[in-house]
Amino acid sequence: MRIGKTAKGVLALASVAVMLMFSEMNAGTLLCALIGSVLVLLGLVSSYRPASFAGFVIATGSAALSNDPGSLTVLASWLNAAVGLFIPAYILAWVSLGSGVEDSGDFIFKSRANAYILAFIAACLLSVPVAAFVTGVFAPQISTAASVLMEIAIILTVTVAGVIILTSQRPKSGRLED
Amino acid sequence: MRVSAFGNLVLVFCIAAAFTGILFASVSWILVMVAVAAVFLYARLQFIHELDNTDLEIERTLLDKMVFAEQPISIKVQVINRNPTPILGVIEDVIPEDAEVTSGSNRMTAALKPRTIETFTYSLKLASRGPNEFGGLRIRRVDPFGMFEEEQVFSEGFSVNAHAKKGSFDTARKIAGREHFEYAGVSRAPAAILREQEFSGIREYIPGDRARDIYWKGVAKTGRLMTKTYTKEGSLKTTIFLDCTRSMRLADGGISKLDHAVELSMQLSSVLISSYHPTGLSMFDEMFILSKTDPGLGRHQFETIVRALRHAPPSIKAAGESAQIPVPQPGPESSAATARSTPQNGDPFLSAVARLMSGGRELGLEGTIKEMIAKTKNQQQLFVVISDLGSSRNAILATAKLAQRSKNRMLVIHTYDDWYMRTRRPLDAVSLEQMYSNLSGFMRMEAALRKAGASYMRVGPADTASRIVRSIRRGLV
Repeated sequence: MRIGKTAKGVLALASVAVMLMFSEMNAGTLLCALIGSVLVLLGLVSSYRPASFAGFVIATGSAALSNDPGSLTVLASWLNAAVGLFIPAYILAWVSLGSGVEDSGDFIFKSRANAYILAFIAACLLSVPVAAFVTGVFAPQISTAASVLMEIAIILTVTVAGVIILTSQRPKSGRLED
Repeated sequence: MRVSAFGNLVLVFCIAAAFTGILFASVSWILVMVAVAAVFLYARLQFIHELDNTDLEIERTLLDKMVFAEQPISIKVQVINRNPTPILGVIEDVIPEDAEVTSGSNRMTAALKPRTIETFTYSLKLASRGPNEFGGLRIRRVDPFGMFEEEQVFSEGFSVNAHAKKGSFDTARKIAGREHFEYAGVSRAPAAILREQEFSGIREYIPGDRARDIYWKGVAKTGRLMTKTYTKEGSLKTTIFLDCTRSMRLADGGISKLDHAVELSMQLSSVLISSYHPTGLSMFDEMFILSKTDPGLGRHQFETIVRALRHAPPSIKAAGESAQIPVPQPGPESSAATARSTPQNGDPFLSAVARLMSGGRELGLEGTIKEMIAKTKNQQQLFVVISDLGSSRNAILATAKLAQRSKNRMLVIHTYDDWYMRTRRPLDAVSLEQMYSNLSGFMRMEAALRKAGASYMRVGPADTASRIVRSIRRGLV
């Protein structure tokens, strides 16, 4: 499936809108989100990746500042974090980083890359609930005392492990010069 | 696979977001970091997939029919992208190391759109005669997210066989128009090449002599019939033997002996053919006869010889200090171990050749000449051998003796090694001693060749066929 610039623009705007809906923004962060989304769109139209990426940083930064989901062990907070911040941020990052090419070709949903990334995202997002569940089963007293920093540590550990595993793949074909 | 500058920027943002999340104990920043890391990983995995499944069709077309060294040639490169995704990056046609792009560019910064054809054309000058290897098509690829870079080389390289410099052909033509190679023998086939008849003398009339040959003015003086006699200028079947051994191919800063020998062969064959001497060419190396063209006449014969010369092996650039390694002492009785050599220049190879030759086996040159003599009995032939008297000197000496026994002629044109050296190094006592030693060794070799009935001539890089032909005419060789 070919995703054109218009579709990418719509995706970017929808992502920013979802982030706005789930966050408690003040005037400043709202302005930042708007500036960020405008920059993303401008970068997309002019196929200029740095502008688009700067817009992404501003928009997601403002969303991250105004959306504090709290503990990921609570389902409502987890849904808020996943739907209100993570998924829009991922889509916005995908759109803004891929804005440097006029025609990026076909997007293949059923690709190995997509499958790996879905697994990686699932592992990262579910790492805290799973860790909390396992700890609750084996050491219930510790699980109640889990802090936000501990959750952050769990997510970071899983992220780093995932990055190491997925970056171990190397291209097979082509004679490499260096 | 390398991470680009932009990719590094994205990574820095990830790390900064992670630190912010830890510093403010905020899961939101960590989630933003995970989202960016996921896109980073997606880009990498997708790029690997694209690299693995790249399907390109590359077609190179040489737009010139004749390729000469140091003359611009045009090359058209057509790239067909059969992938469903674009290929982004810099496409470069890898040209031979010493070639120079004269117009256009062998590089193209482009996005090869999916299932489209891209074409670019450029001109370049090939520096050397012989096969010039092109290394394929190199693409410095960038992924669609601009975070990774990778170099890929597609298609097998191809080779363009270049003639000698175009100027060499003009020189050969000019020399052929100016010089004439004479042979005072009697031709066996004068009718085919009817030429001027040179006055030889007067003798008594013998019944049957043609009326036009009678010396009428002498009748009044002597009262007797006298007949004028003429000697027809004959043609001499000539074969040029070109030594293509490794020592001949070494270019020590300047022109290699083989490059010069190729030019000399072209000029000599042009002079000989224009003087109605059937001329052929044979190229040999340490082991075999590389190519052989039977003697013949006419313009097509010159073209045949030129085509054969095109396949002469390319020159080898002497590496670093190789030029300082002395030439082994030449001489008719010396060992056959020969040639300046370094480990880089194939020492093991040369020692193997030396072992083979010290066993008394002479392949190539001698066998071919024996065959030629056997084929054309009772007809005198001229064998012109252009060599540096390196690894093939024993074969050449044996051939000279063979030519003497079979009453054929042989001319050895010696591309004198020391005259071809171009390495700028101070001339010290050791070098001088070496040069003197070389010269005395080659003088012994010259004496042996002359003793075997061969003519000998020492040439340097500035010599042309003119000098050779004139020297022959003046009896200097």
